[in-house]
Amino acid sequence: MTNKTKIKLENISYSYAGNKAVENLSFSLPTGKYLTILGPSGCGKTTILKMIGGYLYPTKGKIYIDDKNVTEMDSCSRKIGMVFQNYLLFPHLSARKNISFPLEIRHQPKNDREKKVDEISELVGLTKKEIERKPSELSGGQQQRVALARALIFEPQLLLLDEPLANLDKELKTQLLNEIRNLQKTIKVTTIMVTHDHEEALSGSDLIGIMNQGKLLQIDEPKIIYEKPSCSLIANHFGQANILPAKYFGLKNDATVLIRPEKIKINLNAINCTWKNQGKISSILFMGSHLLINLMLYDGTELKLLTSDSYPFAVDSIITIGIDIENVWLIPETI
Amino acid sequence: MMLNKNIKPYVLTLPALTIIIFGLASPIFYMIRLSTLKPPNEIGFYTPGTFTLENFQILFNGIGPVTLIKTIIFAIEVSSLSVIFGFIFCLLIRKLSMLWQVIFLTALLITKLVSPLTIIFGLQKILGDYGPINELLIYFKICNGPVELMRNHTGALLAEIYFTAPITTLIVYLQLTEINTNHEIVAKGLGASNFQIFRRIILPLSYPGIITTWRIVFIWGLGSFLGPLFLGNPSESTISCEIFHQFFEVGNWPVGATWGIILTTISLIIPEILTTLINYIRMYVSK
Repeated sequence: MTNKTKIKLENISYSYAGNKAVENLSFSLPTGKYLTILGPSGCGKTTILKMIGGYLYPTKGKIYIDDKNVTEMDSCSRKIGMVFQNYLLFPHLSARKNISFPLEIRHQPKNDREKKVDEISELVGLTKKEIERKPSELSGGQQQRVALARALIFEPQLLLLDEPLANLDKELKTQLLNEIRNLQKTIKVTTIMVTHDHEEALSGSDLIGIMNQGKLLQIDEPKIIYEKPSCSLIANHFGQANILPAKYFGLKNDATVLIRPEKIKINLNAINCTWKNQGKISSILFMGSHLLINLMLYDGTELKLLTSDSYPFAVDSIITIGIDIENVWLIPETI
Repeated sequence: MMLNKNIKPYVLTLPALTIIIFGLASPIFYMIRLSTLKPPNEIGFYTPGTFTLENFQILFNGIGPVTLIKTIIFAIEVSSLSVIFGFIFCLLIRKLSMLWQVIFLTALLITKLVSPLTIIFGLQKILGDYGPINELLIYFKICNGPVELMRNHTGALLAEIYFTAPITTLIVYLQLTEINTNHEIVAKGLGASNFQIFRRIILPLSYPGIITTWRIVFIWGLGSFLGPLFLGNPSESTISCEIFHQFFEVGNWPVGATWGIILTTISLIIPEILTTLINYIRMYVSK
């Protein structure tokens, strides 16, 4: 049941006044999954969300929801909940009225509406006092919760989140992201979130789609995106990366490979590795739970290492490193 | 330049107070005094050195009550229709490009640069028996002879709406531009129809602007003069027409001043009462 495709985008393109914002983009998302589309500002990720929501119509391609072609369908007929970056709560209505808005326009009886508002408010963590206030009397986090409740109350078939945490501080962002994820798991709504923050993307997404200049570079599980990126851009975007020529590891082509710093073993741990080398530590950066070591090999190649080893590393000291060949990822884009 | 801290605040407010007292309030005080003088005996426009409140009996005698009620109803009609016109006009142009919006608004506001008497003359020609409207009605055989479009209530109303519509349109337009159009997009995404968006989002958000405009135009409407005088008929007489009549035709200044006091008073009270009433209705409906 969960493997059934909820949404499918087929060769979608969109142009703003002749400029291509999204180009020939395709992907599908199974029911109940949480996809995060990650990319820099202006890469077209919000445009995709707007096209899915029916706020923009693609210049080319088709959108299917539950195998139904909704490409030309109006946003009000799609039954999709969307949370916008600035929440866009109706300023003249109380939080309660904002949340019940989708039910009111569907002419649901008042008692049912009130009951549902109370339920969803509790689910998103709003108190009874808070929902009686106007949006201007609420904090950013509370407004975000109201926007989320409003988007979910009418049981949408799809939930779209357009950088919903962009205006919040880091602590609140992490807390709300966890809450959103838990909520999504509880109500099992298929969700697509866009963000430019890779930490947000990695926090609990089932799938991550990486976009750049209107193109979808890769869509996969976070672990795969991290370990096996399709291009060096993604490799560099997610955490620390060592990108080296493939021939360095005896791979006979002009491609490049990725080795994550934490996959490099040091000293005694390196003994059994298939590839070994020695180098001089050029700098050590204390990162709290671990150290980031910059190492200069004898041939001048620079490598980054991440270790939580308690060994007293010192700048200019010589260390032995080793890499298991299965931890060397041949970047497909460069093959 | 440093201000002397020893100067008392009331000294600083004196210039403004002087302008208010002598420039704005003194005619009102003079009018109040005039309204308490006895009407002229045989010569002059009033009886100097007298004091009476008898002039205020016009509120209860003769055409007084009728004129008062007619003026209030006329003002409600003018303000309501003018606001409706302005609101519809703004809704129609707000989806256009900025250039077209400016063109339309300028075209509307240009009428305020023309002398009101010229406008009245123009309207008389347009609404007259041989004006283009009647010519068209006859040409298309909608009626056999000229329809009386002026010298009645409609004519007076049209003239006053013509005068007030540019102001209402401009204020409503400014209020509408304050509304974030993304709210409409959000509402649509949540499943609202165009009518629901209008009723639940656009209308409530523009409500403060509408009420402000309505109040301004209502006060204008209470003072309607040119429309009723030139395009209405004698039975359309408003308080302003009565003031003109008393001051310049009858020569009874105390009664004219009394009407002036009544007009000023209702201009202050009635909008307040009506706005409170509308707010109560709105609160009741929104519950």
